[in-house]
Amino acid sequence: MAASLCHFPPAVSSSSSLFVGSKSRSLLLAVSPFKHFPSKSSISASLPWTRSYAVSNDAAAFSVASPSDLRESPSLGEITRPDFPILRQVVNGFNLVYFDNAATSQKPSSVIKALSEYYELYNSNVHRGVHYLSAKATDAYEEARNKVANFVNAADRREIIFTRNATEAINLVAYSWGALNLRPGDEIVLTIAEHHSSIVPWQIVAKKTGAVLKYVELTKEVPDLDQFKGLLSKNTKLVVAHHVSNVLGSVLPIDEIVDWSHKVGAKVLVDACQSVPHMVVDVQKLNVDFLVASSHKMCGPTGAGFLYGKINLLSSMPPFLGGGEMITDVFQDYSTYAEPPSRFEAGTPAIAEAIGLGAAIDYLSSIGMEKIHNYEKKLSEYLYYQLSSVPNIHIYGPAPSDTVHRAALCAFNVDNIHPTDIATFLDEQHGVAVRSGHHCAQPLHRALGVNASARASLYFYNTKEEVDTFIQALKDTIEFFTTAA
Amino acid sequence: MEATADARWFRAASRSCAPRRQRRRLPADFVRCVHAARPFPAGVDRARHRLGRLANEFRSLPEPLDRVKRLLDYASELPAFPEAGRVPANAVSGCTARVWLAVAADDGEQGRTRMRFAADSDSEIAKGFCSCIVTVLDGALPEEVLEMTTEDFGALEVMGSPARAVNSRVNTWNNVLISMQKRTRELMAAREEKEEQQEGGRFLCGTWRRSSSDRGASLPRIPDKS
Repeated sequence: MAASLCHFPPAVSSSSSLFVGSKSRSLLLAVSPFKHFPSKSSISASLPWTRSYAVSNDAAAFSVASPSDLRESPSLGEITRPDFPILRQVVNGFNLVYFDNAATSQKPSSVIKALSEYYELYNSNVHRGVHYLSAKATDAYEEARNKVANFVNAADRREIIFTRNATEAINLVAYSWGALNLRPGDEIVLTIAEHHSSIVPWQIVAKKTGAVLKYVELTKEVPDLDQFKGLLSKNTKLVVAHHVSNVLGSVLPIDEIVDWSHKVGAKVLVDACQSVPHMVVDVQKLNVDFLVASSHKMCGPTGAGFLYGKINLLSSMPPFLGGGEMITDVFQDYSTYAEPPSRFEAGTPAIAEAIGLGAAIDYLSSIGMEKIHNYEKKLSEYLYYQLSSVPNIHIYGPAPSDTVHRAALCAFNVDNIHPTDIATFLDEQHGVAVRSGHHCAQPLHRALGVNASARASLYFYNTKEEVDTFIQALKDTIEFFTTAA
Repeated sequence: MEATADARWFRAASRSCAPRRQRRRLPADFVRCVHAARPFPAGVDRARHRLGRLANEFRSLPEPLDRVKRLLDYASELPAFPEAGRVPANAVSGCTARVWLAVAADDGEQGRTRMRFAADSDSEIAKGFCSCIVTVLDGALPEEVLEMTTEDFGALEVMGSPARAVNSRVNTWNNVLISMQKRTRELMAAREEKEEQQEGGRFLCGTWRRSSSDRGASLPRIPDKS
């Protein structure tokens, strides 16, 4: 398959000092003139890459340019890296190459500062106190909710519920909406490629309510949309779908899925954990009923996530957890409940973490999600085609093309070498961090016919040079285990 | 093959090791392999002794890459694990690689029960870990198995050292050791219960009848005729 990769330089030669064997390997770091986050004018002035070339079916046929021909300006990765202190460290004698962003992202200084400032300057419980600190904390917490609402273009700020993470958000929908609305024989349609957090809560609730789970299988390593349409019926009450797969890297057409599902009267819950951090997600445009995402995958702190739900749905749903904050009045034998979002935020919330998520949104917005997405599209293509050049490798999911967008992550296997061996050696001998295992997608791995895979997942602060380093390190790893066998 | 393997299988398996690969030339000051037979003085904790020698062996290799190669050598030396033993009951949960562990109690030597272990994995590094742990604990007394900790294996300082992320669910050392200890306890508890039932049966046949009110009371032990 030929594809045109515009604005993207090929790999540097193998004699570069950037590659394995040299513990003095260093990454190109642009000096950032920005204290907290880069200005839009600076980023817009930096063109990603300007060379273009055609790609043949044989990835090894890529032309190799000299390093001096590679770029005319720093990449987004080089501009933003200085904002992330953790990326500057040395691991096992090598500069860290962090390629595990699908598991969790790193945090810019501005987010770390926001967390510290909260605890240093205005830590106080929210919503109840009348004193200065409480008012300031409440304002910051609710401002974070506004920022999330704006970030996903929710129509109403009350449609954003803060949770501990996306998993809790899905459980909220399952135990609240699901328990109320599902009856015996009702069907929940979900894909075989869902994260465990999108499967297990529905298994539990289905058992309680008598509902049935129906799975969309794979075709050519992506969910079969024709089969999906065939599974929809008047019995379908809920469709659960990922936006971007954390293993396959594939992107589902959520707008079409919502359209098909609504026609049969089904609600749609979208797992946007791998999309919200990387692209513009507009819940009104997509017309989803529920959407979940995690703060820690989008430069925010752990311990925070959110559920978006249409206000009419949330207003009709019973509480998930009971306690303080979510009530209006409490009597000995009954209580009345607050309106959304408070109804679903029982107890003292993760205040600092929500404020940190707000700071992360500020940071991402200052770059621009379109720019992040465009940069990652090219990084994704580069990663995929460089990885394709490694002998005896199988990359799961679709190949990127003009019509097929692929996220900047690749789960893969190399013949006769366990992915855990690859990941361990890459870490210990090269300072490269990738993940190995089932990535919380065991049904998917069974469908792919494997027990585990290795996964490299990138974010906007990663660079082409890091991809080159990773590829060379991987080749060295494969040679080691092949020789040792 | 059932979860608790017949001890005779372990004796046979240890004699028929997997074909050995060509050993790499190692530094002149390399510590002698722990597999070499050596008599143990009475009272010496065999497991601790073997662990110490294994730790010295790895520490004598200055380069991390040499330690990895030695770990893979140990992986290749692990006796063959029968396909029939790769059953869910023998699976060690939590590892990112698949690991199987077979456990049996062997009454062979001087009437003392010793634990026998066999393990395997589809990952060469995890297999190397398993080989090291089996080297240390195969043939150990139950109490020696139970008092070992994951941190003890940190002395090996080999790739994926258990000193890091002990409580991580992907720590193979931790998962395998915990599985060994859990199944050792289960085997020993099952044996004690069986012995108590047998002792209760012998009393019923003799002059002293065991009533329900006597349960829990300390019973006189009948000398073991064996």
